[in-house]
Amino acid sequence: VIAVEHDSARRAAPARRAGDGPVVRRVLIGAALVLTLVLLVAPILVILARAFSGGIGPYAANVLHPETLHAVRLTLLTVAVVLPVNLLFGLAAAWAITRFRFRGRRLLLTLVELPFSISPIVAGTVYLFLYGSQGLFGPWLAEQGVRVMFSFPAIVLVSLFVTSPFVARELVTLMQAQGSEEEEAALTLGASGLQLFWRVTLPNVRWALLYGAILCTARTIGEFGAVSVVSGNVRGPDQHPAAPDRAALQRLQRAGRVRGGDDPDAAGAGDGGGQGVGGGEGAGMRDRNPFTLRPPGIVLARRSRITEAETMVDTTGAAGARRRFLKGATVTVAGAAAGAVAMPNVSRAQTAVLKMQGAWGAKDVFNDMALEYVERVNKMAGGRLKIEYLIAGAVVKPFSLQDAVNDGVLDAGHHVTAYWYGKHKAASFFGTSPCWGWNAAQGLAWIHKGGGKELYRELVQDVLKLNIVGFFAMPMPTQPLGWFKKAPATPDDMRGLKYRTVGLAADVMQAVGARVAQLPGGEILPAMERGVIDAFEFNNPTSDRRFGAQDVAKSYVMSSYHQATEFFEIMFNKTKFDSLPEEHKAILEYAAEAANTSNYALAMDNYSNDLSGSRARGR
Amino acid sequence: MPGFGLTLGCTLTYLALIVLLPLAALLLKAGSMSLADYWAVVSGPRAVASYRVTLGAAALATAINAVYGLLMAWVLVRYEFPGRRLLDAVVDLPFALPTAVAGIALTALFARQGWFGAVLEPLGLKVAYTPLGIAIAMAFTSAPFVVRTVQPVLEDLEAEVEEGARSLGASDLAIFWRVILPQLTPALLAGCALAFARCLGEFGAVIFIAGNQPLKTEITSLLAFIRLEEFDYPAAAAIATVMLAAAFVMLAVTNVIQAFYLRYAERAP
Repeated sequence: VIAVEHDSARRAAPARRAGDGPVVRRVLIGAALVLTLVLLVAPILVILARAFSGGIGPYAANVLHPETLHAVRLTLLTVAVVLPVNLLFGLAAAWAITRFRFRGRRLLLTLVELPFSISPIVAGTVYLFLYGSQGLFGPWLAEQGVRVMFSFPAIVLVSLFVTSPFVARELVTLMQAQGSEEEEAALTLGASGLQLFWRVTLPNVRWALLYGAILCTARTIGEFGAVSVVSGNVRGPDQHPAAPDRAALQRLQRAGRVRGGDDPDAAGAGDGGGQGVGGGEGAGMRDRNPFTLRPPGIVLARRSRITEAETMVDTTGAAGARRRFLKGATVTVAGAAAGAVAMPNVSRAQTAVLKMQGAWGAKDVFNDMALEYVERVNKMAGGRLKIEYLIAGAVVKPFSLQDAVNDGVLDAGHHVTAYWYGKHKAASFFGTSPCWGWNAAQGLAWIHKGGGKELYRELVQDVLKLNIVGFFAMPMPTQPLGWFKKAPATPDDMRGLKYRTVGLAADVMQAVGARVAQLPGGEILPAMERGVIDAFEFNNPTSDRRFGAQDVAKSYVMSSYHQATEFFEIMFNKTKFDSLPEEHKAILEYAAEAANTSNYALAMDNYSNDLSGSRARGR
Repeated sequence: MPGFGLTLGCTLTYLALIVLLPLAALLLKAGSMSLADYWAVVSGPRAVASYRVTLGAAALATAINAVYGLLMAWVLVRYEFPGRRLLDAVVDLPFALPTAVAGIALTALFARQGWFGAVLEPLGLKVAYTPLGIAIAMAFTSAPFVVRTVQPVLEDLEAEVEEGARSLGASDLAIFWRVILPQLTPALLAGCALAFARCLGEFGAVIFIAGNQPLKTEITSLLAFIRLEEFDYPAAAAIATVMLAAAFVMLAVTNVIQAFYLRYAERAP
């Protein structure tokens, strides 16, 4: 339908046709030009203006950034697979549909066009249900050691789906119009099938073929929605505008680690200045990582956050100052990152390296706690076993950690069971429970000695069929009800309130009458600022303070029954874990018990200081 | 004619593997819910609000495109002027531009400090982060559909009919309304149906400009995406089936219009 016959002859026009009057003509042409300028051209201009706003230098630097190059390479590779396949499909489909009459021909044509009208999100979703870890073929493929989701094949598959109609549609329209007389003539002259195709059909349709190929390529390059779903690597649309500096922070953190051990304060420069900029559990942006799949659409989306930061409303007075800081920090940090890259890498021979990602942003005290665990493992193992720790978002979003560890994208993860509560409500036994009549330390005792460990193994490995082993650490004190614009006086005040919590508490609060949103920590602040939620709880005074809860809500309400116990779940890919020598397995398990004590001490020290500090300041 | 078995076989196999099998997986997933659960998901207040936002914005975007598409097709076919070929090429821009880029660019334009936003917001017209912004983003990504469906039909219109009308004393406006427009209507409707379908499913361009507030500016495809992120796979499947059903309805509408149009085309010599 979209076919255009550009070359359609402009026949010698008759003297005068409707609308040929000079006034009408000018008005219509003018209107068309203005509308096109406003609707279609202005967006291109604004993109170009932004791209070159810093002159050619920064532009080139952005384009030549390894991340950009990696994304471009990935996209070209996708095009290289998708285009030939869809060209062949288009030719076959057009030939079958236009050269033969058979039952169901119209139905076939409809099927060919179907992906046109299917939302790219639906396209991504259906593939997730087919090949994802809980999909139709996912488990079987995983047994065969094949991973489709969150990898290159997934991107190719959804691109095939989304772009399959382009070539076919162009060809069908044209070949239907052309009819088959020429081919029939060639046949009577004794042409073989191949000769027919090469010498008659192909020359006739080459422009439509080219146009279809261009559309198909453009769409493959530009596809965003479908790829977002299956590449597991897109930022949520509610990303905080300040987030791009996370990658930079993380690079800084890594740079620190390369030079001098596991000191989390290496990120100190970023920490101080970034106070209250958002962050928390999920604000991490991905660092450069050769294993991540990030087509340009997604890189762009991510880069655009800077633009967005500028165009979005400044919700807090300090935002401008923060932004300036961020720009400075980005430059500094880029230098640090370059330094880190240039540094010779420590030899890793004979060392098993486990890649672990946390569900926490760089500033969160939970990140410090995760690093305490990592430090314990690395020191006890004396260099033979090493955990490489990444902050939230470095590879996957916080809520995707479990899938990533199960699929082997990551070797290990540090999060809480509430984050996969959506898969099975029994997850709340191992964190996020309301009062069971015990406190968190007693809950951990139940896990260790009361049968909890066995139930956890059964839930994860037998019921959910996940390839994961996990340990628990850190008895978190009863969690406050959270931050409110106006403190609730009675349970009735919760009714209709848009409230962020996770896990079983989400169901409990829903029953109380609240409208519950389950968001990762990093999305809490922007959601508050934009009125998506009215109130939220996260976990403790320190984490809350560090991501800036006090900037968006006035009242901090303490007593609550909604989450009396919670612990960190430190999980490993079971295949990877089982492949380790016994002493390493023991280190990974016992380090959780050791981190239990140090985490608790860190919490008591920080939580009490931050809470009394908040009280003293009045917010 | 040779190659029937080969081409039909390839086509069917490919369609089955790439299109039908995944769709079946979706239905299977949605089918694992009880009817009551399914209904609760697809008729929840947030879901219903997202349908309203999506349908409303898509309708507005299609209306914009109908007018713009008709105008563009007319200008491109009927007039010769410098830059016509360039204008013709520019129409395909939204197809070539990645949707995410389009969304970011439109947001930059219509946000308070943007080129257009700076002019419009003082007038009380907020575009970015409102349903109007969603409609603009949808209109952008689906703009070529109407132009490209109407254009060829307009090119093929016979001048004789117009001349006949003129010799009977019809004015330009009367000729347009009573002679030309009726002939364009099927193509115009087909283009609008395609554009509308594309609008319903648009994601990349919209999420950047929408503001994405539940109940207010959250589109259905984003809701499905959020449910996926929350691992609420059945709910995501349920919402996806609603969108799939909408896609099928739009496809049926397009086909009916096309069938009508083809009959008309075959009758014409």
